[in-house]
Amino acid sequence: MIKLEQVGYVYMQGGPFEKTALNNVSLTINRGEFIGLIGHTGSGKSTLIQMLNGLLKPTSGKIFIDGKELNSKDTDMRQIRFDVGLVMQYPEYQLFEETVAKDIAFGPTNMGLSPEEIEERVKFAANMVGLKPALLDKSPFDLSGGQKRRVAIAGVLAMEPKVLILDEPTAGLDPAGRDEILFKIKDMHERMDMTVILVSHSMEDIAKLADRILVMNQGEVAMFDRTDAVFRRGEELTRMGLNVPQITRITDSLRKQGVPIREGIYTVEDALNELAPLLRQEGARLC
Amino acid sequence: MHTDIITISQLCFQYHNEETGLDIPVLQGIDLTVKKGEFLAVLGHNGSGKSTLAKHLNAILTPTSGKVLVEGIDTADEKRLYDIRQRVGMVFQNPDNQMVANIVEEDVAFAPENLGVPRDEIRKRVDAALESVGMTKFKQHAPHMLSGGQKQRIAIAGVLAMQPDILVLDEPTAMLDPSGRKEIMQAIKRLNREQGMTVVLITHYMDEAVQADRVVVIDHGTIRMEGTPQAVFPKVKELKGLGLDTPQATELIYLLNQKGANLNPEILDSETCVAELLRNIEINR
Repeated sequence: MIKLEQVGYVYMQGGPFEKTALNNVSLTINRGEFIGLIGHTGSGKSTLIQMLNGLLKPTSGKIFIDGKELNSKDTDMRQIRFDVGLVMQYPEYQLFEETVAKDIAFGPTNMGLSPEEIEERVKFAANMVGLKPALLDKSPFDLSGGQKRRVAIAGVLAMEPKVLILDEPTAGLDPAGRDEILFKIKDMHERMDMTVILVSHSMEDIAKLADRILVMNQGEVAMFDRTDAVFRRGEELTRMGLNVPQITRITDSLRKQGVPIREGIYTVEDALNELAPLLRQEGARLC
Repeated sequence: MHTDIITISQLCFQYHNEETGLDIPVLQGIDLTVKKGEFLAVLGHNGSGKSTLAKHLNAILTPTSGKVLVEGIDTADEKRLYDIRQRVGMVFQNPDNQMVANIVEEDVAFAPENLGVPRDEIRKRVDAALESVGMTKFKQHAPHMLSGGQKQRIAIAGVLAMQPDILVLDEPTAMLDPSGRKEIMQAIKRLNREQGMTVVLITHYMDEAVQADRVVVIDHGTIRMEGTPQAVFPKVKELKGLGLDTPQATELIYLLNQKGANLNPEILDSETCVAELLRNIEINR
């Protein structure tokens, strides 16, 4: 679905403030995959996602979306932007229309769809993110922070992108708001057969959702592997200024001290299943 | 940590919705005292009323009924507004909204300048404030070139330059990345421990509340839980019911105990969690 061949990006190339943001990135993401993208601030992850829908052009290398090469003469970049939906950080600041429905309709209207089709898509997208129909006629500025964010996500969904990229979609939300958005994203991924790239600082969130994790460090791909395999490399992640979930730190530490517990545990449920038998033996002895 | 510095009694606040003509209650009978030198975390989900409570601490809002006393001064007394604002410094979520000058030290000097503090004194206060948040070497920098965590530390320094007795922070890390969040928490803890600053931290991040002396959990404008982090966070089910999290370490111990283990539930971090598990696994080796 997405293929990068030796992609590089240099900001202000040739100028005195020249800065390499991405260096020689090659990778392939398959259709329908759920990718977690992590890396500390300045690792190149934002540059990378902005390239995927053509907001930035690579200064070297090639990017293919669904077999089409980005920024080549034969590719309709407008279509690419409809195919690759990008939900930026704090997307609620980009709401501007009089009503929620009009705001969600902005993308599909630009696609030149019929009014019936647009209405259909607005309803579908609103439902998908869990916005009640009664909210559609309200001003987006009268909604709560979590609701506004869902409106912004619905606006991108209404274009029915093949790839959905979300940059920190839960930043600033409380735990309940966060879980709700993450659940909706997972639900969309499964029901709409979308390829999803989720950028997050929260290892706990990524651990819950991603099939594979892409770790960026200093403009390069540091790791790109299955979730459990990535969290097995906790020490390397720590050296890159990243965390592993607390539960992984606990199970890693136990194993180092001789407790027979497997590697690559990254959810509380997994840890519970591993540890419960070890402790229950004790209970049996005490009885 | 013996004298009460803030006393809140039966605080109710409601606002009037013009459209529906109804009064919406936000705070419904809050009783709370903050001790001098204490680090208090107020935890609650969005819409719980925690920010409204924070705004009562320096008279941005005043009670519909009930009383808020700051060092004995009634916040509803308009004549004492400056006294209250000088005693209680507020830091908000978005550092960009709190910057007023183009140079870091000028930004920090903004409040004392407006208070008419003499020039030499301003210099001293600005230097001390920047030192307290570890930003001295950035004093000649432009704020917009700094990271989010650095900007927020400048915002804290700007408040410190007023020499408040109490620092109230309303979700100061919500817009920061993990390293920025760490910077702010370190700065807050240092101010509290080394300078005895009374700190009220409004947050929905449990990993921040865990670091406080005491936690108050707010829901629907009432206090639902209160105590040390060790006492509050093991109540996993109750917290989840209020839309809040517990540390994974605490949750793991809680779930193991649900399955019949007999572990100390008052565990918040990975080190004590590992030690507690080892103690109980080793017995049967």
